[in-house]
Amino acid sequence: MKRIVAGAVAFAVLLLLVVLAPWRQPPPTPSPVAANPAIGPSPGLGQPEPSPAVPPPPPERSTLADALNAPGGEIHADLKIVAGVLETFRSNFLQTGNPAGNNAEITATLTGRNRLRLALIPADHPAINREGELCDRWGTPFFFHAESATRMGIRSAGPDRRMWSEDDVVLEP
Amino acid sequence: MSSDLSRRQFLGSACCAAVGATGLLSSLASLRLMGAVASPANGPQLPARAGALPSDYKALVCLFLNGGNDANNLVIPNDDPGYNAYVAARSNLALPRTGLLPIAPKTPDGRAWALHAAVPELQGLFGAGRAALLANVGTLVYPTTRAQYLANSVPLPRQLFSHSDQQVQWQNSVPDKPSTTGWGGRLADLVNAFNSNNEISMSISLAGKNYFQVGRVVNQYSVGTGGAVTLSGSTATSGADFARFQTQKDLFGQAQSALFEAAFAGISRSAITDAELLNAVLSRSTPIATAFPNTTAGNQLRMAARLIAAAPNLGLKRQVFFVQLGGWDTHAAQLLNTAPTTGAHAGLLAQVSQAVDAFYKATVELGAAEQVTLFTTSDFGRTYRSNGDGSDHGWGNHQFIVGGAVKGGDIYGRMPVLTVGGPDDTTQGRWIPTTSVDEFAATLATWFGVSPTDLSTVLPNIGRFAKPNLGFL
Repeated sequence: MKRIVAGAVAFAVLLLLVVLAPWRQPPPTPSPVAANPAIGPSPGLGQPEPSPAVPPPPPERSTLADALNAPGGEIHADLKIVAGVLETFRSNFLQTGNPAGNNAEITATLTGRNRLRLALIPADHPAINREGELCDRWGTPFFFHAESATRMGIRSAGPDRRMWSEDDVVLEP
Repeated sequence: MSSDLSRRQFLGSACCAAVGATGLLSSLASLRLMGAVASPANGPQLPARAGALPSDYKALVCLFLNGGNDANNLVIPNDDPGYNAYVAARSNLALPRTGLLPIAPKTPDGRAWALHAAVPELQGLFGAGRAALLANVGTLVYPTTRAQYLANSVPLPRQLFSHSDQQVQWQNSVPDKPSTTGWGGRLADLVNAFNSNNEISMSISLAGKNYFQVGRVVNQYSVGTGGAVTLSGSTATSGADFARFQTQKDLFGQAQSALFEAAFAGISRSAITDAELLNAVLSRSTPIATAFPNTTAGNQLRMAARLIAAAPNLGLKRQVFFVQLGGWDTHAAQLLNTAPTTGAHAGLLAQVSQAVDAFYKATVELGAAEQVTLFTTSDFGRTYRSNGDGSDHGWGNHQFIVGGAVKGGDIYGRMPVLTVGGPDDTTQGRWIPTTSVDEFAATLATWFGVSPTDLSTVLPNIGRFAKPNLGFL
């Protein structure tokens, strides 16, 4: 009986690993962006990862933000895409809620620098600039306004690329 | 009536009599209040207390700057190297040096400091030793260094840089877990025994509901800038409004069988009687001669001063007030580059400076300057680095403490190294607090009468921090 139970537990653990593996990203490169309560201890930071006996399968690429800034799209839809990514993030971090910090820190969190290594936006997404900031379709970083753990305003500077001007487009939470 | 009462009958009758007497006493208590209500010309029955504030009276006034005050432009480096670095870091947010108001802290830290040009009244209070600054205070779970922050190796406050979460954490001082009470409420629960009467709560908000004053026992009581909020028609003596109000009161006075209806009626009755009592006390209290600015902050603080003056008539020896001014979330239009002292931030600072100055003068007029302490709080500080048009959400911030008991003219805590990427910075010039809200609150609570052994009741995390008394009181 004990063998059957042990076998069932082992099978369940293996099944869990197989299910979760596609969402797991390789350990992120250390960066100066700030800490986030959702991040937790980072086993890969500052030290090499031990070589696994079996190479993990390639991470599955999240498609949540594929349509962000796509040609033919428009900014309101883009903002909803970003809001959807944040909502998905929150659903995976119910205790901590929204990623914290400025655009670069939030983007780092959304691209996998979090406790679950959950990459909801691929780190090589074309909307991410050299500074690691998520940008609108005109190349200006979005402005994230953290109102609470579950409410985040998102602002695009609009076509004139000047934040806080009349053509800004804002998605209030 | 038979004289042969059985023991069972006697006990049954006695119980009924006791219950009846309870109801009678309750009704009498209600009638006392309702009788006053029913005779508006006479006004409510005032408690038989009057006179000046007792020598052991104390009040705390929390002035909450809602939105996140950019105190980087409230306290500005005023020596050449410091000011030049300030200009380089803040770019278009930097204030011109001309017009800054120098201060001379009693405890120098090797740097020179000045205040924003819009706060000459606060400069005067600081210079007169009636105001102190607390530097770089903020929400902390444990003392935190930059290295620990970047390594994420100590627990951090939940949802840093988020408005509502940080507001709540400033007001409950429990940043690592949910809390159903605020530290002002827990403080009130503890010291309410000082008060001989609780007809009007010792916790009064001039700005509506807040987390700060939520207690387990003492409820916050919301008062408007003109006095207690009353139902329409409550001041009428005849006509339709009067009839409607009387009908409402009759309905609230009827016995209700359902629990919800009974609770609603009870609270409504209480609200009516409390409002009438408070307004009657206010109307009979000596008017305050000190002129207050007709602003949001000025009007709220004026009412706080009037309620302090009314404290003896209310039987209160401890009062906690909550005052709030919004508009500090200055992501945009923080200042006007052509006239940096006339932007949104300057206007808010001027309003606070003038209102706080008037409030302090009013406490002097009441002879209570040493018994009343006002302190500022805010969601968080703001980024040292400009976003181009304003500043974004930060963390540690500087706060003012004002009152006759304040050991003023000094900066408490430690001013941060004002360098983006420096030892006190997360990134972007968001200062990691070097003093916790717990230490700030503990100092105020100790002055208010809380013993060292009871501090942890008010501030559960205080044991994690080095200085439960920062010495500014």
